[in-house]
Amino acid sequence: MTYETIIGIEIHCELKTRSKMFSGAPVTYGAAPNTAVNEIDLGHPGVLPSLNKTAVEKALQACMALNLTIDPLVRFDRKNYFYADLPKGFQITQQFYPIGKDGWLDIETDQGSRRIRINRLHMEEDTAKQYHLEDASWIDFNRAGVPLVEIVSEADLRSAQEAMAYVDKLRNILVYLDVTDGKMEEGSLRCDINISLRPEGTSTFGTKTEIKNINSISNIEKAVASEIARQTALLEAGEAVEQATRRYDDVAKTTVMMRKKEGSVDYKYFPEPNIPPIRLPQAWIESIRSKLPELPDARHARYKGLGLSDYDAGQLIQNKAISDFFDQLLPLVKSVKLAANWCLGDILANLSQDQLTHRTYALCLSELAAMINALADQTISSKQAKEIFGHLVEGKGYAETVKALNIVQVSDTSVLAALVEEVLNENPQSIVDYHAGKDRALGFLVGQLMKKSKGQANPALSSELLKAQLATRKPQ
Amino acid sequence: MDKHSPQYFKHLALQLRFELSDAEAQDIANEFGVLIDQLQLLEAIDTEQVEPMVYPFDEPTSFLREDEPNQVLTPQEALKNAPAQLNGFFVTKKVVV
Repeated sequence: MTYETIIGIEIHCELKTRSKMFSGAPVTYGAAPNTAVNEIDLGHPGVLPSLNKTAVEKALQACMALNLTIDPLVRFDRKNYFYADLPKGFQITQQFYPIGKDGWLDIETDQGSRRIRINRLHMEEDTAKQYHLEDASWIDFNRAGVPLVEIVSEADLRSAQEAMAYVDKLRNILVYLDVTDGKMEEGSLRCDINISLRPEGTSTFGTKTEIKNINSISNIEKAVASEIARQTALLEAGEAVEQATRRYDDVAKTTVMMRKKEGSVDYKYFPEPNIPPIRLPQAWIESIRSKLPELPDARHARYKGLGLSDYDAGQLIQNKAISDFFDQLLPLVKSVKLAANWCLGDILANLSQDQLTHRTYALCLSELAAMINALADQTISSKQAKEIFGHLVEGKGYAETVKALNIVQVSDTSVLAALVEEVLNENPQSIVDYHAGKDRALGFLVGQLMKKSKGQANPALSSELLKAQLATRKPQ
Repeated sequence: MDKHSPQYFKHLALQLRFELSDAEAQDIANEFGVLIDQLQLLEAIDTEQVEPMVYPFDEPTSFLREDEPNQVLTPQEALKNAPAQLNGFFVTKKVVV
């Protein structure tokens, strides 16, 4: 039997703010335990939460980019449960009135573009981080109260590839918005993936499992694919899928059981009495909308408009830091294509993501542009460019490097003409081959000429001169 | 399970992780009975045209706090209420949900 896969994804995303959702404690990552907490985060009696303006602004930006309808009356609710990661005994969330609902995101699939509906986006607070040891649990409340948005998709996704494409695209949009740093490996973006199978052509949902703790985009595809395979095998064998929360084991390449779901927990939601409804001024919402930065899709279209291929444009926008770098380089260069090639090649290979993100590299844009332009003019060869680049990344200037490396280019026609003469006399067979239509013969002759000039001949000019001479040496 | 029965309160207590004896559950059930009876008197009031109200004031506020870190406890203060502590962490019995 063939099965249809039904996937829905919940994404928890930490917002890039300086202070917490409801308290003035700092937001940190990797700080010593319990050094970024205050009375509100710890749920001390008598404290009152107050809502972070920047967190709301970032939630609004995410709503706008994901085509969600915004509710300008912000309301919060209490989700009550008793667990050590939540000292108040409840989490403040938006159960009844999410700030955004009914949006969508288009993803690219093998079958073309697919629109994935987004059910809701709501604001809430993160919980404490727990470390479970042999016989005790250690708790660090630094993360408690960090602003979060939860983004819930409809069950519109149908394959592991689509699940990965959805999270990847969503993450990229949020990074472009500067709403989050989107680091899955640090847990600032976490996804819970619900998967069920049903026989092709039927409409009732099968029993679902939820996969948690996936720490990278590429593991999403692997985790979902392995869970689909596991569920398919169970159904094929006539066994039932057990409703449970599972996690992906990167070593075993399969999902493993974390806990069974025993009925649904009653969280006894009710309106948060300590935060009265907050009306967001329409003018403020509109000013945020008018200042939305360029998003990946728009940037992709702009790059294609500049003449880049779909593939190159796609590669560039995938990494905001390199794309920003490319944008800075653009006004300085003669060749967009060469600039893109260098950004996606040597620059990505030589600068770390951290250097690119925080612009802490020594490479000077105008010096790099000078090199790319020399390459575009064929004043230097690609081989020379690579050598020069090695010095530019260390902060050296282009002119200075060219001088130091003794890179001179012979563009003197009389000198080159003599070399052309020599090369042709030494390679009579290539002349015959050239006239017999073998394209490689010209390349070979240029190569010989470059060798004779110790790499200093202007390749474009040499090629022209060779062609001119070859025309006069047509075999009888 | 009957709503507001002793069993119901025992179930709630379990979910909220505190102990409730049978006698205490019975006491609460009795008190709730009285409360519910009193609240039911309110049902005589006609609320047909009245919007439900959650907060004491109708007018929403517009206050949002500026995103400035301004209040942090020292780890010593933060850990003052910890049942046990080690290396700056709160330490509890191991409970994995």
